[in-house]
Amino acid sequence: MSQRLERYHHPKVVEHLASQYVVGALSPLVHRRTQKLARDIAPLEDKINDWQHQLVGLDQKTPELPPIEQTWANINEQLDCLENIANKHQPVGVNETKGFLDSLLSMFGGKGHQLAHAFSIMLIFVLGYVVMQPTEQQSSADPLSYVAVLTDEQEQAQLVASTYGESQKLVLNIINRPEVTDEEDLELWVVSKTDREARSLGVVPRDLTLVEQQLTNAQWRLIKDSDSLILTVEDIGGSPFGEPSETIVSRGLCVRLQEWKTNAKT
Amino acid sequence: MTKYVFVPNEEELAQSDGSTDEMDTPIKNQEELTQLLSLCKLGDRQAFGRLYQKAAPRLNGIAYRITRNVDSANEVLQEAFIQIWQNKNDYHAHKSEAFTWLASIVRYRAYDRLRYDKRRHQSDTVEFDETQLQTIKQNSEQMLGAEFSEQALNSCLAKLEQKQSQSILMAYLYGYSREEISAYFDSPLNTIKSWIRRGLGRLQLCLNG
Repeated sequence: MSQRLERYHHPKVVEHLASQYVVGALSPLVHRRTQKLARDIAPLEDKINDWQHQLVGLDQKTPELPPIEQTWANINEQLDCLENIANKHQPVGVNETKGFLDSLLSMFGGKGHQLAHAFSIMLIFVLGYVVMQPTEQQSSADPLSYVAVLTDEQEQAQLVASTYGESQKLVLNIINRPEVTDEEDLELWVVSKTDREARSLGVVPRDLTLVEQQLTNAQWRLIKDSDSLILTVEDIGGSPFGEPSETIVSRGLCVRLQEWKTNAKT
Repeated sequence: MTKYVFVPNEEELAQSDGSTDEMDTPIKNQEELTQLLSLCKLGDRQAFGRLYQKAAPRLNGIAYRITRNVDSANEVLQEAFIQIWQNKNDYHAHKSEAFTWLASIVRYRAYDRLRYDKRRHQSDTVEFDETQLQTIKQNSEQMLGAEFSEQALNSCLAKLEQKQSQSILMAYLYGYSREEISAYFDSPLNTIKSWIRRGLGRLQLCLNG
């Protein structure tokens, strides 16, 4: 065991971390690190459980507030969506979109980094095409509002994430899926412009090249406040800690379409 | 370990919003919550629905207590229940009572949400709302004085120095950061850290005593 981890077995350190964690006194970053450590260090997990048990009386005395009906509907909808993804349901209209994006994105993927302006102009063409070639689900629809093209270290496009109008629907076009083992999943994260922290948008389903996901209000706010999106390799089922692993396989700036239009004109 | 019996209130569940005033209603039937979580682990969505019916009003109350906003509380609750379903296999009855596990998930999510919202609206929240903080102080004192009078926790909290117990309660109950508590007491951050650390240490000694 490394010295760094070893010190987290010291009873005083365990006691301090666990109590501060449970009382909510740690900064968000340290809180998440502690959460992660607790999964590997049994005494820390035990102590956290002890403190939670000792203080839960404060929560049991908190007055009830019946949730709005929509909350349960949203939970159900999101779980249904996750189950559909798990069942590997293939949406209509996948191949057509993939074929186009595959070729177009591979074309500008290697140049985007050096030629940002040219990249932006090209992307407008991509966006124009995406708007003109909606999937069935998008066809009702709303103009493209946010988009991120995620590329690997070689600037090869791997995934395009887009939203349409205020529909709060996230569409993922998976161009080149990074390879993962059977014990791993890819997870998509949004990096906040405000606090630079990453928050999950969920696990990217296997074997699909086009995915539609209804975002919660909270997730939609994250998109609107996003700086960029990142794709990480996580244990199967996604990060258990609520924070991304260090294996970032793809990343891309999140762009609001209106801003792109404005930039392109100048 | 104390066991509670939960009384579901279907009429309340049907309400769109509005808090209840049932400070004395205990969370009942931990065994039922535990059983429902066990069924959830088998993939039983109906059991998950029952779990929601049983626990959501109290958990939403916790989220509201911290976020102080009905919409935010509902969103925290929604995210928490997705997490509960996804992490259902992490629940072990021998390690934690069901309500404790559920409430902790909601509480940590609510802290996150509160701090995220504060950062987003930092320019709006430079000034502290002294009235609100005063209310919190009063509530904390009331909780110390009345609501937990028969519990070991209350007894031990009451033995702490007032600023220690208030700091702990401001953090736990309402999600105030150490920096905010420091501003409220007009005391250095290190002093607040020390109050919380010493307060928790004494609390631990008392609870184990």
